[in-house]
Amino acid sequence: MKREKLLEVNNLRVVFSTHTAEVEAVKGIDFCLYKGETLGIVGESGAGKSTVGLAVIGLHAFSPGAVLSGSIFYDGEDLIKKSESHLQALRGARIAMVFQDPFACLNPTMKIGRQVTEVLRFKKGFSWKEAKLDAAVLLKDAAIHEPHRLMQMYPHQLSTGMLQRIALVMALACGPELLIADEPTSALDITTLWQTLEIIENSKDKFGTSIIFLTHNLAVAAGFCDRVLVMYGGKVVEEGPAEAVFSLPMHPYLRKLVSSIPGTSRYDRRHALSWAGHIQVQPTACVYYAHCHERLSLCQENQPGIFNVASGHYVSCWLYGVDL
Amino acid sequence: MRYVLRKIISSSITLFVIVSLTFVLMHLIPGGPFDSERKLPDSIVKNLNARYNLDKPLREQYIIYIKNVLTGDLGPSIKYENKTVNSIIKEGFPVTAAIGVAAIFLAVFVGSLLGVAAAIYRQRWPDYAASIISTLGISVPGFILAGFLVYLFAFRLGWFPPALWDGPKSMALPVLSLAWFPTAIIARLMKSSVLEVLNQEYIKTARAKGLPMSYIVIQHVLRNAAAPMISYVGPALATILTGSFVIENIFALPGLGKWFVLSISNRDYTVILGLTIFYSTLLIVLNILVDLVLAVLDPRIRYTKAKGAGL
Amino acid sequence: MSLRIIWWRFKQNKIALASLIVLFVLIIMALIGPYLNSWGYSEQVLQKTNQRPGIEYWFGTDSLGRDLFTRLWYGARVSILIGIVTSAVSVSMGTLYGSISAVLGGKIDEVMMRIVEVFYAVPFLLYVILLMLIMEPGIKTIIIALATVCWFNTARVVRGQVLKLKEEEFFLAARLLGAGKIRLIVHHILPNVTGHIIVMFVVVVSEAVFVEAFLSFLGLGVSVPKASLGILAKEGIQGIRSYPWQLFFPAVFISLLMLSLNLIGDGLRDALDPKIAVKKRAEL
Repeated sequence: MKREKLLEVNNLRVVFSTHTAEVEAVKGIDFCLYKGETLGIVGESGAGKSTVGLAVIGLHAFSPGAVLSGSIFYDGEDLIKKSESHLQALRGARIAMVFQDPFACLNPTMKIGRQVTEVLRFKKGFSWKEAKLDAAVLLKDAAIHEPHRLMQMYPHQLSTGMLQRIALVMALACGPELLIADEPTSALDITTLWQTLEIIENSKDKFGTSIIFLTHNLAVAAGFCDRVLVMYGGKVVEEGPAEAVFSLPMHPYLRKLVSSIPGTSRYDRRHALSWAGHIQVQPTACVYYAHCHERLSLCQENQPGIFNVASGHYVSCWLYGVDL
Repeated sequence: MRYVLRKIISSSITLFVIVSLTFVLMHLIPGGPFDSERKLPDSIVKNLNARYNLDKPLREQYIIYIKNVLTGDLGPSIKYENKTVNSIIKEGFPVTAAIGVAAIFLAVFVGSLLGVAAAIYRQRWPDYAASIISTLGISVPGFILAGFLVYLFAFRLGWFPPALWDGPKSMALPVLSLAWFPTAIIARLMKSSVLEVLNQEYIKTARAKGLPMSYIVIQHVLRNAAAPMISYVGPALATILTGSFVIENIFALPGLGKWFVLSISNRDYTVILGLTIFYSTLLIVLNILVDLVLAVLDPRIRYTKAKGAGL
Repeated sequence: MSLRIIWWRFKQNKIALASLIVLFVLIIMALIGPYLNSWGYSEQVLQKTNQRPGIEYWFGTDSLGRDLFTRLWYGARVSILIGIVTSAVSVSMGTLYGSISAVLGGKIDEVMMRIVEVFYAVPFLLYVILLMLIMEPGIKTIIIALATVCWFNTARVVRGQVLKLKEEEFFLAARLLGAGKIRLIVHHILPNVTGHIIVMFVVVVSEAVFVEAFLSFLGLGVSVPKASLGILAKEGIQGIRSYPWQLFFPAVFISLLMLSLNLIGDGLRDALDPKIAVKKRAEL
């Protein structure tokens, strides 16, 4: 079965230059997204997930000093080379994004209703009246009762869970092909979490939306995503089907992560991850070199290539290197 | 609405304090209003004093005055036989109001434009231009600018009349001089406010929704960035009002400012008192209006938090 | 932040530093200016009225034949003096009131602040004018009138800062150790509020200079034949049609003075703000 690719990213590099330093947030990664799948990108804060997400939707243009290189192919075109107006037309309509803190994402002085209808108006060409009706329907589908009453309210009057669902409705209002979700569950508690994920699932069913799901929560990633990318220090260290990756983690970093999750068995301090500080390492070394417990001398001199360990499962680590 | 009521009450107290204070101050001014270079015969002075209630004990005068003020009667002018304070106000206020209103509009529009441009085009030429203009605006006093404007445009170039009240052309220079300072302040306020708003997550979200930039700036940015600027409109009006004393003097405009200054040199008690009260009341009312506008703009002031209100 | 650090951060700001130098120059000129030539500030030479600036009269003369160069520096002295003293008095009053209000806290704080609020709403220029009418015109009077009206803002700012400090941990620690209220104020609060007080001081000086000019313009300021910047501006405007230089020099001085004060104030505020990262000038 040949799956169709929606997104193909090649050697994506994102460098932020401020007048004090140059930071390479994403160090040349490749991946692709197939139509209809949910791709998880997992990693701790600072690993580069958000940067990748923002790069795909093209929101770095206004960030001071952000330089993108490589290519992001969407629908046959390289988004990096496209103009802002082209990208703006895509956003909301075909590529959408939701962010972590739903309260911060909503304009505190604007009614909720307007914030949902504005997308419908500008992207689908509805009149304000039509947009209002459509918005009410969408909200109802997202298990929000009394949508008309809610649309007259302001963000500060509502709970976080409610706001996150509204944020998702806003993003999915036009039935986009691609949804980038940046830590959508991090601000939620367990009950609202799955409710929220359901909304995303519905969009998948209804519109065939493909999803890039950024998170540091391994459990959610395991339960919700089809395939997973594990990022560390701006590079992809492991990639594969979610089940395979989490049940049989290969890369030392991922193994550490998985074992350090306080599960239902007694917490073993030996598995705790050391706190990453800034340690000076040679730029040619593997990104994980500084904290790796299984490192070899080889790891310091060469960055590992990508090795195929199982069907669809890849690791970037010399431990699995065939050509040693 | 409780909010508005609270404001009205505290403002009334302020007003009362102002009236009383002014009254006390007035009567502390050495010399009566009839001490002029010509020595008037005692009998006439006594009559005049009786006519204006100046011979009654202070407490009585105070009560009479308060009563009058509450009914809107600000008393007669002492120096000009056929004028009352109210008539002076009717005569002069339209002029002052005209330039005042024009000045505040100019300040708000130009100031906001400069501020927003400076914020959006940070570190590029609109930013530098706006910074220079606003710094100059704060430093060069309005009336000095007025002097130069008169010299340059009225005498040298002859574009505007130097001192006349004759239709819109004669408004140009005074309005510019009055608006100068507030424009600078508003530009600064808007710039920092807009910068802060631009960093907010909801602007990122709005852009992620693919909304056009012009819409985002007006509906999302301005709505949230306008608050500090609007708060400033109150003090700005006060500045413009007091500035009008001098500006009207320089440009010889027949506004309230001219009358106020005149009544000061004439020691015309009732007029000074009356105009002070008028000005103060005006400012207080305008301030309340400004607060109302703020409340309309920011729903957080209007509605208290009611998390998860049954939803 | 310690005063030394604040000063260092301030110095890195080129514009603020330049303004400080300019201010310095202006003050020095105000001090020595009148002695630089042989004319007195009120010396009238009636044959030489309204002279253009030239070799004999460096800045020209006014309508009574007085040397404008001398008058400018003399007037500057008067205005600056008024500005500094007013600011000192007003800022001290405000600081005292604000810190007492904040330290005592609770009901007293509320009442004290309400009082300030009521007075803050009063358009103060009106009151200064009235005050000037009551008292005899003169430098002392102006200072009293201005100071009476300017301290509110300082009180508010200081109170805000002190309240913030009260929340800080080292403060709580000191209180737990039994420090008395006075000791608290002197040793713990003042050092931290000093920066803000200096900013207020600078701001009020510029305000005071402006108001003095304004009052003099209305005829309520310093009395003739003494000179002040305001009086010079007024006389300058009177002759603007034919003798523009009479306004030019005082105008430039006032503008430079206020400009430098404002930029210094801005620089100080930036130096105090912990959110602003200051880079060493050499590396820029």
